[in-house]
Amino acid sequence: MLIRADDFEKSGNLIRISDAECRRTFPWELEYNCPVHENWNIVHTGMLIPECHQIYICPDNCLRGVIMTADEMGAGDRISAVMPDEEELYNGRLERVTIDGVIDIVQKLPVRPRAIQVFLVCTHLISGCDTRFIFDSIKKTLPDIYVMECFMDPIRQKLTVTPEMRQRYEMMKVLSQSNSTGRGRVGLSETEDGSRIKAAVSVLGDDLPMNASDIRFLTEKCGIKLLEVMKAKNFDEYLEMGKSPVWITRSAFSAYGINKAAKEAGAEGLYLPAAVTYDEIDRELTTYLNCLYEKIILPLSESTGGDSQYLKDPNEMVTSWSKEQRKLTEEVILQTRKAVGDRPVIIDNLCINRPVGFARLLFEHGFNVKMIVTDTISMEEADDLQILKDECPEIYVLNPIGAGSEFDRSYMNIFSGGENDHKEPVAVGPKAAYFSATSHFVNAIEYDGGDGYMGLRHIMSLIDDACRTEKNKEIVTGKGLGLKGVWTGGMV
Amino acid sequence: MKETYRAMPVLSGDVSGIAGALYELGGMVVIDDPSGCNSTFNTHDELRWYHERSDIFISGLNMRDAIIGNDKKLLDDIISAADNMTDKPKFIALCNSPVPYLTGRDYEGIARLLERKLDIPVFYVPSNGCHDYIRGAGMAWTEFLKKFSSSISVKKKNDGKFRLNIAGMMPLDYGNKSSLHSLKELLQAAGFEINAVFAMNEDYKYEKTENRQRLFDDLLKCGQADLTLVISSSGIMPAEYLRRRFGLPYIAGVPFESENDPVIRKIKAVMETNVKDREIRKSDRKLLIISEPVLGLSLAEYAKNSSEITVIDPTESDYYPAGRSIKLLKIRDEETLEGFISENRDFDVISDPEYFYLFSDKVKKISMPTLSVSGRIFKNGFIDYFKPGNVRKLLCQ
Repeated sequence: MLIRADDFEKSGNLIRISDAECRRTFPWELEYNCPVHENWNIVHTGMLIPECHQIYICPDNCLRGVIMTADEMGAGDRISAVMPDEEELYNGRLERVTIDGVIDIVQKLPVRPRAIQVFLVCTHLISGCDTRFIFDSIKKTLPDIYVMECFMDPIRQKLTVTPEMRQRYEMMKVLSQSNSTGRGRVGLSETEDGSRIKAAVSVLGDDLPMNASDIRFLTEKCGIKLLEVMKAKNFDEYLEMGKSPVWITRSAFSAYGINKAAKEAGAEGLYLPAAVTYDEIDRELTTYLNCLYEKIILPLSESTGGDSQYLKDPNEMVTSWSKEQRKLTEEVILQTRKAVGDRPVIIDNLCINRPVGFARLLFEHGFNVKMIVTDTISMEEADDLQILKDECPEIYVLNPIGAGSEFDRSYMNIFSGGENDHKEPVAVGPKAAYFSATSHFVNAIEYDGGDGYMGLRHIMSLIDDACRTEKNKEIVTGKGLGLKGVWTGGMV
Repeated sequence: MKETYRAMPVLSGDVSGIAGALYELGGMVVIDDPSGCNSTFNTHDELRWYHERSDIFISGLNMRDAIIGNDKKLLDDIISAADNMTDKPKFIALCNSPVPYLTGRDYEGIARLLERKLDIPVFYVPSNGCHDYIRGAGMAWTEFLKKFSSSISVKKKNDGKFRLNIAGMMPLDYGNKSSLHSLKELLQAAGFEINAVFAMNEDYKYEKTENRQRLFDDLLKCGQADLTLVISSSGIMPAEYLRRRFGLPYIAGVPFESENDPVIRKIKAVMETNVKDREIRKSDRKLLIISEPVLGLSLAEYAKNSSEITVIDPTESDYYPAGRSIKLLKIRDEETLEGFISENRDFDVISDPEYFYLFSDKVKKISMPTLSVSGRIFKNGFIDYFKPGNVRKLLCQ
C-alpha cells in the first residue's frame, strides 16, 4: 500500500522541519510505544555499578517491566522487589511496607551488597509519602551499605527531572560520599594523602564504553588514565573513580548530575555531548583540554609521562588536531556519500545523540536526508535546527511515540518517486530502521560510544557498511543493545 | 514479608491482560498511565506487536494533570487520536493504573462523554495495575460482552452440530503460535464445531484488518454456542457472564487429545456421551505443577497416575473447582511458596523456568515456559499443548 505524506501530516505525527521547534516539538498527547527497545533504561544503567543491588517498590504492572529487563540481561539475581498490595497504596502503610520490605530483602540476600539502589515510584509521590523519612530510615538500619535514593517516577519526567537523571546523579553522589582512603590502582599518581588521583579522568554516567573517541585518544596521549564505570571490577574500584580531579560525561541524562556531584567531591565536572559538527567538536575539545591542562597537567608540572606533542597549549593542540582530523573525516564522509548514493537517509535520536546536527552535516555533504525520527529536539540543537529550516525545510520529523505513528511502516514510500523508482532507505539507528522498514541500517545506540572526529568517522563507516549489507529487521526488538539479551521474532 | 520478591517472578499485570485480550478486536485501548505500561506490555507480554498493528496507547499522564484532575486533556487526546486513525476503532476501552486509581478518576463518566462525542462504543475496564493478567483479561472480555450484549446473537443453528466457544486463548498463556490451530483441529477431530474464540486469530499480519473484523463478528455470535470451553482462568469471567446472561453452560479444562481425554469426556458428558479412562504418567514420584489453575489442573487430571499431584496457582484466579481429586493451592507470595517447598520434598516440578531458582538441585525440573511468567526469554520453548503427543511428552519426562 502506498501512503502519501499528506496522510501522515494530517495526524500531526509527521511534520516538516520548517515547522519544528525545540523542546516540545510535538504536542503531549496519547502515546504509542514502538517495539524498538535497544536503548538502555534505568535497570541497565544501574547494573553498571558492581556489587550493587537494585530494589523497586511498586505495583505489579510497572514491576514486571523492570524485573524482566534484569532477567533478560541475565542479572535477575541483582534485582529484587517489594510489591505493595492494593490496600497498602492508600491505607497509610506504604512507607512502612517500603522500609520493612527493603530491609527484609537485604537481609535475605545470599551476599550482602555494598550498595543498593532503592527506587520509589509514582504511587509514593501521589499518596504523599514522606520519601525523606523512607530513605533515612533505610540508611539508619543499613549503615554499612550505600543507599542510592532513586525514583522510577515517570509522572514527573515531563515537568521536572527524569528518573534517569536522578539515578545517574545518585550513582555519582556515592563517589563524593565515599570515605575510601585506599590506595589507587597501580599506575595512578596520587597526592600524598591519597585523597585524589591526579592523573586520571573519570567517565561517569555513560552507558557505553568509549569507542572511537577523540577524548580517549587525546587523554591517553597526554599520559592520563581514563577510568570508566563498566571497567570497574568491584565496588572499591568504582569508589576509586571518585578520586579523579576531572569527571566527564557525554550523556545528556548525566548533564544534570555531573557538575553537582563533582562539585560536592571537589572535582571538576564536564558535560561533553557527542557533537557532530566540526566547530562544535572543536569547541568541546578546547574546553576539555583546557580543563585537563589546568587540573592535571599543570599541577603535575607536565610530568604525566605523556607524549610531549600533545602536552602543548590546549588551544594550539585543538587547532592542529582539528586541521588534521577534518581532512581525514572529509575523505571518509565523501567515501560514505558515494556508497549511499541518492538513497533516502533516515536518522534517529537513539543512535545519534544530535540527530538534527547530524542531518545538517549530511545535508551539507550532499546526502539525501529525508527524515529525523525523534519526539523532541533538544535546545542544544537550536542553531542546527535553524540552519536546516533555512536550507532544507523539506526534511521530515517523525514523532515515534505519536498515537498512530506506526499505522503503516511503509514510510519509505513517501520518499520514492513511485513504485518503479523504489530505493530502500538507509537508516541511521534502530528506530529509524523500524519506521522506514528498511533492512539497511546502522544498529547502534548512543553514538556507538564514540565522540569527536573519530566517532564521526566510525558512524560513517557503519553507514557505509549498512548500505552494503542487509540486517534482520527484527533485531531492533532486543532490549539494551550490547548486553546479553534476547530478541523476539514474534510468536514461534 | 509477603510483599517481597527476591527470586519469584512477577506475573504479567492486569493492564497487560486487558491489552492482550482486546488486541485483535479492532478497538483502541487507552491505558491512563504516565509511562511504562505500554513498554512492559509490548516488550515482555506481547509477541504480536512487531508484526501486527497495535492500537494500544498510554495517556502519558503527568503529575500536574493527575493532581488537578484534568479529565479534559484525556478526553481531547482520545478524541484527537480516534479522529486521526485510518480505520475508525470499533470500540475504545479505557484502563486505569495506580495513579489515577488513587486520585479517583471517573472513567464511567469519561466513557459516556467520549461516546457522545465520537459515536463509538466506549467502555471502562476497572483495572488499577495492582493485579495480574488473569483478572485483567477476564474483566476486558466481560466488559466487552456487556457493552455489546444487545448485539450478541443467540439464535442456535439446528444442524445437529455441537458448537463450542473457546475462552481464555491469548499469547500470555498459550504463546506457541500454532496453539490455536492445533486446538481447533483437536476439537474438530473430537466432533465439535468452533463458534467463537476469546480472543485471537490463528494468523496475524500487519494489514489484515479483515481478520479483526472476523474475530469481532465471531465474538458477537458467541451466544449461538452450546458450551463455552474455558482453557485458562482468564476465560472464567466471560464464560460466567455468558452463563448468567444467556444460560450458556461452560466447563473449565484443557483438552490434550481428541479421544480419551478427561476434558473431551466432560464436554461429551454434556452431550451425554461416555468414553474410557486411561493412565498417562507412569512415574511414582510426587508431582508439583505451578501454573494458572485451569491448565494446571487439566495437566494433573490428564496425567492421571496414582502418585500425589499438587497444583500451585500463583495467579489471582478465583477458579477453585469443587469435587476435584487434585490438590490445588493458591500461593502468590514468595515466602509462602518457599515455606511449602521446604516442607515438601521428593517431588518433580513442572513450571516456568523462572520458578526453578526456588528449588534445590535435587528436584527434577520440567520446563513449561509461559509468556505471562518469563516473557520472551524462553519463547522457543512455548508448548503447543494441543498438538498430539506434546503434553504426553511433557508429563513423561
